Amino acid sequence: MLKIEGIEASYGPVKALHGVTIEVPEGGVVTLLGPNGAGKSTILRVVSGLLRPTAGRVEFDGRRIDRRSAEAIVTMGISHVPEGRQLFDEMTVHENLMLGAYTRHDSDGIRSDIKRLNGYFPILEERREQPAGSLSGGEQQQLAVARGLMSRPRLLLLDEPSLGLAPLVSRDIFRILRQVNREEGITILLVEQDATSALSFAEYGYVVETGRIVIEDASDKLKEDENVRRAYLGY
Amino acid sequence: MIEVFLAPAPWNDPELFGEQVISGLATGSIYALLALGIVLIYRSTDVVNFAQGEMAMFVTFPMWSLTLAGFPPWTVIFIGIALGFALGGFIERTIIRPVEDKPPLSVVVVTLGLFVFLNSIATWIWAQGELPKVFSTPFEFNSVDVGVARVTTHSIGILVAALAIMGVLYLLFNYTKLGLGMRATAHNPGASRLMGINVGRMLMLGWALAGAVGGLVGMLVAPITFLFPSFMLAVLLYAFAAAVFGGLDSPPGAIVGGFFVGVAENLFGTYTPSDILGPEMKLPLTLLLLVIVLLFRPAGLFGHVRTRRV
Repeated sequence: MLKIEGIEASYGPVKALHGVTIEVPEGGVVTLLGPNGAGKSTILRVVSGLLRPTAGRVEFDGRRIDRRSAEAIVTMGISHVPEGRQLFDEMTVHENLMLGAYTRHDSDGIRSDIKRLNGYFPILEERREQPAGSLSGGEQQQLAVARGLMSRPRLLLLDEPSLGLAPLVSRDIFRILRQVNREEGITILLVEQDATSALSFAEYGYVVETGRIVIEDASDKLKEDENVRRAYLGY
Repeated sequence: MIEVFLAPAPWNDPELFGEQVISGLATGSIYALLALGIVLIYRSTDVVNFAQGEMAMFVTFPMWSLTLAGFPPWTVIFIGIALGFALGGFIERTIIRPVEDKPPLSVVVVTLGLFVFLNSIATWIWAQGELPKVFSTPFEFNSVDVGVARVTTHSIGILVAALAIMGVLYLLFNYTKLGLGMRATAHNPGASRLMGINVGRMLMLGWALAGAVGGLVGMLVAPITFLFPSFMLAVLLYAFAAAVFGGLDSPPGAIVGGFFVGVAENLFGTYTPSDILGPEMKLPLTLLLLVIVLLFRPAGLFGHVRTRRV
C-alpha cells in the first residue's frame, strides 16, 4: 500500500535521511524503532507531505505522492497523528474532531463517524465542549488519534502515541489502536521509542539509526535479535 | 464654586456628557474595526501590520476619484470594501509571503516599508491640487435626537456599520467551516496542514478580510477628518492602542478596546481640569490609562500570555 524508496531529506544544511526504503502492506501494522533523532519522525513528515524529500520516491496505492501537498495527501487517505499531539488547545474537543474532518463534505457521514468514534473513546463525548488543552495527557492522545481518524484514512501514521503517558494509559491506547486496525481495516505505520510495546503491537519492524534502516524483520524475529534486544529492549 | 473642568460638569450638563459618550462610541467603533484588522492579521500571521492604516488610505483615495466620477455613495462603499479585500490578499501573496518565516523584525520592517510605499504612491497620484479633499458620506451629517443627546447621522451610521461588520465576522469565525479553518490556522499552522487545510489560502484570506475592514474604516473616517495621504495616522495610533489594550490576539478584545479608547479620548478631551491640562492632553491621558491597565494585564484585557513549553 505504501512504498518508500530510497528517500533522502534534509533540514536546511543538515541531512536527516540517507536513502530509506520501507514498505507497508495493506491492512498491516508496521513500526519504526530507533533512538531519538534517528529520523523516524522525518520519515512520517515526508510521507504526509510536510517535508519534501530531496531524492527517492513515495508511492501510495501505486500513485506517486512525494511531490503532492499535505492537503492533497490527506484527501488521498493518509492521516498523520504528529509527535506531541499538536491539538488545537484552545478549541473544543468537538471542534478538534471537526477539523480532523476538514477535507470531507458529507456532514451526515461526519456526524455518524463522531458517534462511532465515541464508542472507541467514550471520554471524548463527555468532554465534547471542553477546550482540548484542559484534557489529561491520555485523553489528549485519544483525541489526537480520534481527530486523525476523522478524515477516514486508509493509512494512519502515528508518532509516539505513548510518549509521556503512564504505562496503563498507554496500554489502553494500543488496545484501541489494535481494535481500529482490525475492525476498520486501517493500515498503521507507527513510530515508537518504547520498543517492547511497539514490537508486540506491530507485525513488522524497521530499526532506524542516523537516517538509515539498519535492520528490518518480522516483529517476532526482531525480538530475538541480539542487537535489538541489547539496544532497545534492555535485556 | 470653582470651575474645575473646561466644560460644565457632567451633573450640570448631562446632555453634553451623553453626546460625548455616544460620539465616543462612534469613533470608538472606528478604532475597534481597524484594531480588528490588526488583530486578524496578528493572529493568523503573527505580523504586526503597521501599514493597516495606509492600506485603508490607499482604498479611500481611488474611491474619492469614483465619487468625483459620479458613482453613488453606497456603490462607492461596496466597491471600496471589495478593493480593500483584493488589496489585502494581494499584499499578503506578494510582499508578506516571502518573509513569513523570517524573524519578526524583518517582517516589521517590511510592513513599515509598505507604509512609506503606499503613502508615497498616494501622494504622487492623488495629492495634487487642493488638500485635504472632501469625502462624502452616505449617512449625511444631520443632527438627530437620540433621547439622551443630539448626535450626527454619520456617527450613528458608523456605529451601525461597525456592529454589522463585527456580527458578520463573529458568524464567519464561529459558525462556518471556513472560519473554523481560519481559527485553526491561527492557533497551529503546522497541525492545520495535517488536517488538510490550505494554510496559505487562510493566511491570504486573513489579510484580505483585514484589508476589506480597513477600506471601510477609511471611507467612514474620511468624511470627518477629510482626505489627505496621512489622514489615517491618528486613527492607526488609537487603533493600535485599542488592540494592545484588548489583547493583540483577541478579536473581542479589539472591539472592547476600541470602544474604551474612543469614549476615554472624548471624555478626557471634554473634562480635563482646565487650569492644569488642556484638551490637547487627551491622547497622553488615554495612553496613560492604557499603560496602567497593561501593568496589571500585560497581555491586554482578553489576550493570552504566550507560554512556551521547554
